Amino acid sequence: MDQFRRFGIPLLVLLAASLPLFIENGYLMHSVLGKVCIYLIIVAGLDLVVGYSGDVSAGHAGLFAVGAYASAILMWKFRTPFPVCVLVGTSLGALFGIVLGVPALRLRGPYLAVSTIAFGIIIQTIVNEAVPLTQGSSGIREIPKLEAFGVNLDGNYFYWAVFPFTVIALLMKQGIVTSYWGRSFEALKENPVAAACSGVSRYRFKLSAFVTSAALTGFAGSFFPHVDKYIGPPTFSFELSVSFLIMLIFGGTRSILGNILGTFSIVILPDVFNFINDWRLAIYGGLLLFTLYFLPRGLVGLLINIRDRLFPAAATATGPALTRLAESGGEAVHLRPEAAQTKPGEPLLELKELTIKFGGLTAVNKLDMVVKRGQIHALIGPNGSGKSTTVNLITGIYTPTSGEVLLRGRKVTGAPDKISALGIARTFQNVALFGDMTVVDNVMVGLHHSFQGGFLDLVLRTPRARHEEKSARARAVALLDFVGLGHLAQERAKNLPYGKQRLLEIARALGSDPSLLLLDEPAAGLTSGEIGDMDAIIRKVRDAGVTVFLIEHHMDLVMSISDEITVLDFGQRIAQGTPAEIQANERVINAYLGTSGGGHHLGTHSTH
Amino acid sequence: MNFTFAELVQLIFSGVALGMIYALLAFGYNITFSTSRTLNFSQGDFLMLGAFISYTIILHITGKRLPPSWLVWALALVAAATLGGLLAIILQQVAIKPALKTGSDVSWILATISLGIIAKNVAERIWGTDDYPVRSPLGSDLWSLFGGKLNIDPRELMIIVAAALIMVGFEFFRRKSLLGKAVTAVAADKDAAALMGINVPVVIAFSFIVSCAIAAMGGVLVGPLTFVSASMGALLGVKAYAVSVIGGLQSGLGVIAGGLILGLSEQLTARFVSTGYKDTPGFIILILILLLKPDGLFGKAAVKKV
Repeated sequence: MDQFRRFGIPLLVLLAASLPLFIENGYLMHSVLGKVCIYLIIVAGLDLVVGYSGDVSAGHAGLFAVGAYASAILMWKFRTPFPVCVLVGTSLGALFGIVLGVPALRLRGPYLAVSTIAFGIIIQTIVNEAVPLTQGSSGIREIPKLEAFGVNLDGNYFYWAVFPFTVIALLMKQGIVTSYWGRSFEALKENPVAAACSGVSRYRFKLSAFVTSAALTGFAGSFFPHVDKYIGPPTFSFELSVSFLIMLIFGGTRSILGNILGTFSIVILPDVFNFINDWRLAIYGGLLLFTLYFLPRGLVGLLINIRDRLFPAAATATGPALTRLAESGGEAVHLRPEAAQTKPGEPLLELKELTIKFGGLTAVNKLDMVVKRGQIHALIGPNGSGKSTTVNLITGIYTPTSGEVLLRGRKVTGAPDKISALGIARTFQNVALFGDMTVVDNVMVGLHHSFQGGFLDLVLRTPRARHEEKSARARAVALLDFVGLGHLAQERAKNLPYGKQRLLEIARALGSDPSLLLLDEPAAGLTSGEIGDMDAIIRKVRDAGVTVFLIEHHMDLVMSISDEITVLDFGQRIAQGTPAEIQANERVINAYLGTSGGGHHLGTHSTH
Repeated sequence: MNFTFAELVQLIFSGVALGMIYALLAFGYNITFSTSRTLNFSQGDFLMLGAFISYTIILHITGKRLPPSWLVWALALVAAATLGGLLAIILQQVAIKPALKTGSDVSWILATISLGIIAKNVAERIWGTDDYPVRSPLGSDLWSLFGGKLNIDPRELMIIVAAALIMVGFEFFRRKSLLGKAVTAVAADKDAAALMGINVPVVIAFSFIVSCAIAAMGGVLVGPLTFVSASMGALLGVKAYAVSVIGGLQSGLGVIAGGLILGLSEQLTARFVSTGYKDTPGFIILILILLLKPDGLFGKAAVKKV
């Protein structure tokens, strides 16, 4: 497989590059293969949005039109050199990407689909109406010759003008999706809340994916006038936007090969099956529906299934990632909570009259609490007493109605990803992993904050980007070893047994180098043996200097490891103290366990 | 600029009529969005099918020359609603139900778009790609009021009255009937509704039937005003997104205000800027509302429980 990557792919690229030397047929050369090259750039970009980020844009024809018309008008009216046209087309694509993405991607829901569809249709209308600029429905025919360094790039040779850029676009996409950007896209798609609490800004990454895609579409559009030396409004229809989506989905998302296969098949479809033209839209629609439900991974998925059936050995082959992992293992792990700004025993986290109301219900009511540095502090209380809500308030998932949260005396506010950056990490009551990602990639999302490389670093795969990736991977494996999951690094997270999923969540949370770790019922659903492991790991985390804030119902665990306990009932604090004090507290016994004979449940001796 | 009071009144009247059509489609988006967090991206094509059904029925019974009788028109309206409702069951089974199981937005958005382009293609094959006129039972002669000072188009009046009746009628049904209350309950909290014994998938299917039937009836209403064609739905469906967002995707009758705002701004753009650009305010308003007031002018910002 590695052999193929090193030699086979460059050979295929060279072969594809030399096509104009063998193919005389002009229609095939520029109208089919030229178009395939242009559309492939768009489909690769769209894959970032649909395949990786899980958003839908059904207005890429509009962005394409913006690039194409900008380029055509500049060439025709102002005799602008082509590279400048491309630059303008790309910038306009990015600009409209921002205009569409900024409002729609802040929100949850189908807003991007809604506004992009509207955009596509409006652009087509404007192109039709702005006659002085676009010549309206008659289109622009005055496209000058395309030359570079005195070489004619028209007709059959247009392919050479665009092909190199298609290759670059595909490499660029691959660079992005194999980096922390790609992991962030997938994490946000799988579990936005957990991704945000790992420090990934939902808005920033969804917007990055969409704007990158929009810029690529504008770029591709600026080449388009040269395909037929003509552009007119009917091309840039809603159906074209849908075709781009069909190319992507039918070929198979999240795969370069899929992008190529899908684009090629949909472009040649009307030529191969001439008789279908009357039913073209219905066939497109049917194909999309069929792919969605019967070929969820598209043509590529089909090919992979066939390959696995024919060569079962290939399916279980060791991927390159695993060998890289083996090299990086063995680093001694030490947790590194932020340099001590407070001494052990001093307040780390303070809640001051923290209150949240959902309509008429006050879920947390004027909660005052202090968590001291270096301690394990438990928050207990009956179901519905506001424990998880408190954690959600601290981590920014809810905004308090009144009151405040302080970390080292400074106010904690903002979105979950901002709060994660302050050094607060958490796990979830209902395990919230990125199930389709590998175990090690889950932890690498937790290490999000350690990546500084920008867009160009990823696209160009600079030493900086490679170094960051390598050291993060080593760190992730070390953290997995810390919780005892090192040997499962390449497994998909959803395949882990439940108890190990809880441990993985802790490893991911430790990835952000927190000074405070919030554990929301880490022992829920575990067997008694697993609870023992969990106990040991929580102590290990504390001993490494990370303050632990624990919500738990297993009283044996709580009473044995906590330094301090706070008890909630109906959103209010009813007691705070050492385990011994809490076990003796009348109010706690009444509220939590019922009055008579319940007290012994609180004792650590009950299981002995 | 010679702009009389009468002209202003007529302009407002046309804007309101247009707005009510948008509101009708948007009302349908909101019904299904509230129950299932999904909406039908081919709502405009359901409107188009409704318009063609009424065209065919009126053509066969009444012919081209005369306006249809109220009875024929009512028959067309019922037929359109029935077809819309039946197709909604297919839409719901093919596009929505499988997607709700996977929990991914991508599949239901793409699946409803697919069904829309299939519907458009089928309509083109059956009725062709031309524009067809269809007559209204009120005829198309303007009604003169105040001794000819004010002229009103009866087709617009009919849209306003009928659309308002349909929306208010459904609101009444939702508040007073058991099934209607189930719709409200599922919209408020799906899990709690299921625990109370409400069959959530049936309620979701019902919301799609209502939504698509309303869209198809919208086609019967708008047909006499705009001509009927296979591509008539696209732009209307898109503008209705804007209206839906102005009112707030979760709000019920907020769409009427949204529709009026859009309908009027389009009429004003057409009158004072250029008729060519009358389709642009919808997009601009959509972007502005998403930017400034994403829950809509009438939506409440809801705290989402995790």
